[in-house]
Amino acid sequence: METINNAVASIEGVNKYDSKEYILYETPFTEIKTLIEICPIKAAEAERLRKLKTSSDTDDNIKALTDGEEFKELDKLEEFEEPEELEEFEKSEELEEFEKSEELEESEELEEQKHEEQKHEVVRILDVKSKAKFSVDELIKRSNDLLISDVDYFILLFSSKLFNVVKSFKNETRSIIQGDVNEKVPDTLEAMIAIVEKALSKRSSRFMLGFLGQQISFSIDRTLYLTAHHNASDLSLLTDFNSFKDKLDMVQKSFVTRGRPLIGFKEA
Amino acid sequence: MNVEELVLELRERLHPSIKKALSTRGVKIFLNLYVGYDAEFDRVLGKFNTNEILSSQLAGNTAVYFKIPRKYEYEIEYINPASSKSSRIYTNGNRKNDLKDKIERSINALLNRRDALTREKY
Repeated sequence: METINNAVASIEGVNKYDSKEYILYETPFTEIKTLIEICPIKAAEAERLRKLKTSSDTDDNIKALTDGEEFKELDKLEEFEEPEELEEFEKSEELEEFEKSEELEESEELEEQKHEEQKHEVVRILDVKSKAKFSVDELIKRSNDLLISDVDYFILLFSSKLFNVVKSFKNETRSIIQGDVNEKVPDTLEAMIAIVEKALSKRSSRFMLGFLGQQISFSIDRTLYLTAHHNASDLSLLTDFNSFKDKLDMVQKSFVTRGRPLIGFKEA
Repeated sequence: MNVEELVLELRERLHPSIKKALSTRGVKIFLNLYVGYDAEFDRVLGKFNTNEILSSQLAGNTAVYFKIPRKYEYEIEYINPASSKSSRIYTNGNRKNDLKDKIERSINALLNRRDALTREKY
């Protein structure tokens, strides 16, 4: 246990909490990742209707709005073509060089900014008919997909640390008893990754690592906490709300799950 | 009666605190994914007044917790059967205190012996 303890303690930025029976290690929170999905035509339609309701304009303006000119423009967006390149003006050589140097610096900065933005934020456009409405399963799948890089990182980190521990034990055991190693101990890092991946494919699972007739059990719990503010309106938008609303409880006008999770974990 | 059944029956008769000390504890890992969800919607007037999604946002991050067991000295404790939380039993410094110490020391010696036989190699 001491070697496992040391291996976990060596993770960067980890917080340690001591208690009588356990030592609890908490890794720092990862960077926040966001996914924004927009349905452009429906948003435009809503804005048009809002304008209709709020405007006290003349009849001509209302007619223009109800004719749906904006929709025609939006339909054209799919057939949008890039404009032809503008004619280049004649410039002096010095000016061109100066501009080029500035552009290079700017482009480098922009690329860095874009790279950082891509890390944190993903913007996706919803299809109008098929994907504008989605179910709870899809919502859970999307949130799992959003954090899949974190999960992959954890699998690599944990399995590499664990493999080092196992490796150290293996050397010891081999030195004591010649070549007598239990089959349960994986030989390669890939085998260890496969074990941890398999364990994480369920909501909670346990695997044993043992040698010389002794075993250490590892139990992994993977939980997804899905939160929303005033979620009565958000959840009612989901297509299969009628099928799962009986499983929810109400606490202070919002839906919550007490004890039992909403959906058993399927697969990331 | 099998040996396994006998062990189970004997185990049931033990004090909960001893049962807890005898239980094998492994490493527990919690991978927590926290996701916040929000959606904008529009009311569609019709036969049934329904809402339609305009846009949705998800934001999330993760944290991992490792719970590693440590060796501790046995003490007689009260364990709540409902919550399985343990609380210490305090004595008033009379004869009972000596008895409690004796019991704890003897059980500790037995537990240490058991550990030496089974888990020392770790």
